[in-house]
Amino acid sequence: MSKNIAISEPILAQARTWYVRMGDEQAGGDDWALFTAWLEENPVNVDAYDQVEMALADVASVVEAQENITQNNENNENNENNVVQLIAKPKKPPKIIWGRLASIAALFIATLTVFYINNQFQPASVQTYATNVGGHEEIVLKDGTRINLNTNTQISVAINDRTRIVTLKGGEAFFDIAKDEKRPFIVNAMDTKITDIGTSFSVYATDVALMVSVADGIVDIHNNSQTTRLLKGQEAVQMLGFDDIAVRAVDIENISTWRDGVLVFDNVALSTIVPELNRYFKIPISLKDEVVANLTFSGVINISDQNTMLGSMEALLPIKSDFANGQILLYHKN
Amino acid sequence: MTNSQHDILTAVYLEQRPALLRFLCARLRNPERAEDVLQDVYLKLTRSNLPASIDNPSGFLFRMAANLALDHIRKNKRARLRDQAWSDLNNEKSGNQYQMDTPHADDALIAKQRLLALKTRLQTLSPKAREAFERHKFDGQSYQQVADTMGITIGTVGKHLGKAIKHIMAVDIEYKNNE
Repeated sequence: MSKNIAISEPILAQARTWYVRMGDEQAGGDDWALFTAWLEENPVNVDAYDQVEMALADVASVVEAQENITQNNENNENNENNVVQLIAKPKKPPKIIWGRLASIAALFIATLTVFYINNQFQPASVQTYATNVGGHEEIVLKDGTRINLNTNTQISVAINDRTRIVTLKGGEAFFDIAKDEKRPFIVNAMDTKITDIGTSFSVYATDVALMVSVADGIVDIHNNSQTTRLLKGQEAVQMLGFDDIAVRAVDIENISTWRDGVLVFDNVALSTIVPELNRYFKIPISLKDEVVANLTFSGVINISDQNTMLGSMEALLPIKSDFANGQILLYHKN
Repeated sequence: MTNSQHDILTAVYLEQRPALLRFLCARLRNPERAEDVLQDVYLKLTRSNLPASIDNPSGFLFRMAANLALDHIRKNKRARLRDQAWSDLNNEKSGNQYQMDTPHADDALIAKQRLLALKTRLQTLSPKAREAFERHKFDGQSYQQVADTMGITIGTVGKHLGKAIKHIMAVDIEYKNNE
């Protein structure tokens, strides 16, 4: 793919210029003809243009996901406690006024079908749980299953005689499932379904990917195109908008360490660590420049208190922090 | 869309068809796919809800072709990734069954890190460049609208956008060594 090819800066600069020029709505047929000629001039030009388009398409998806998260945060800010339990009202059958248009009747039938399929013909009460930014709670279900909710997480739980279904709407949860062969345990996250055979595992829906890590037992992950079996000590990553599931080894000790108030990193850049830390605190941390963004860190970060956390990071890395304009800025000491 | 507007676009489409095809061949590097995408342009033209008024019909058609070509490129990329994952998996089975830490797995993690880094990139843009970029890219403002709201010339809008794109793309230089 074009991304693997190193393209010289002058050609990339040309590609960027063409991208900007063709983004102008005033660009007419003549401009497009000139652009076509540039593309035809050299295959590398097309590669360079691909790179520009791909980078910007990715930015669009990052920002879309970011907006969803921001909305979730706003919704959560109204809640005073860390755990909010909402008991959903049982859905009432829609009142059908006979004689309405056939299309409306058809819509009701579709709605009813979906409703009954979801509930396996047994309307079950649905419970919703959520944590705020910085929150952490453990829920014990009637069947004995324990669910740990990490910061800023929303789940709903529907249990009846035949199935146990949890929907992770956002955030991260660690599941310790009570074994019940007659009632499979299903976790829905994004468009992916995780089924379990008596085990413990974590599910993390970031704004760009879904990650499932197995601490014990076996889980199956199903999406639109494939099923992947994960064993103890394995972690699966699925990028948002893609069906491919990648599997890698994970240290069981490092799964969901947030339950103990710490995060563990192994040679990870601050540009990756900081967004991860920002999940836990209301005051966002940002990085001043590339120098500090590229610093890497290995070790344990305590996330129970933001000031303590910053203090220990300053002690371990050549960085300093400043608070201004409602955010914390990290910069290199020199 | 009124009939007359539809007629104008169709007429421009027929007139520009050779130029559109030439552009798509160059963009996709594949004449067959170019024909497919051109067909999509025509279908979209007849079926979808187009804006009420179109000032620049040929520009509009080229932009539509460029967007459909990009969709096509991305779809192909996904299909290739899937094939690669499948062959990686089969290679593992023929070798060591428990060797699951594949290069493909690393790719996905690098991709995740790359997206997180992109987010940081957006946050570290200079304020003017970021405003111009966001107005155009996410709020869908035209260059003229961005220029009017920010009180700058269209040329300056272009400069801000160029700067923003360069800054955002620098993320791929960070990750080039990994890929």
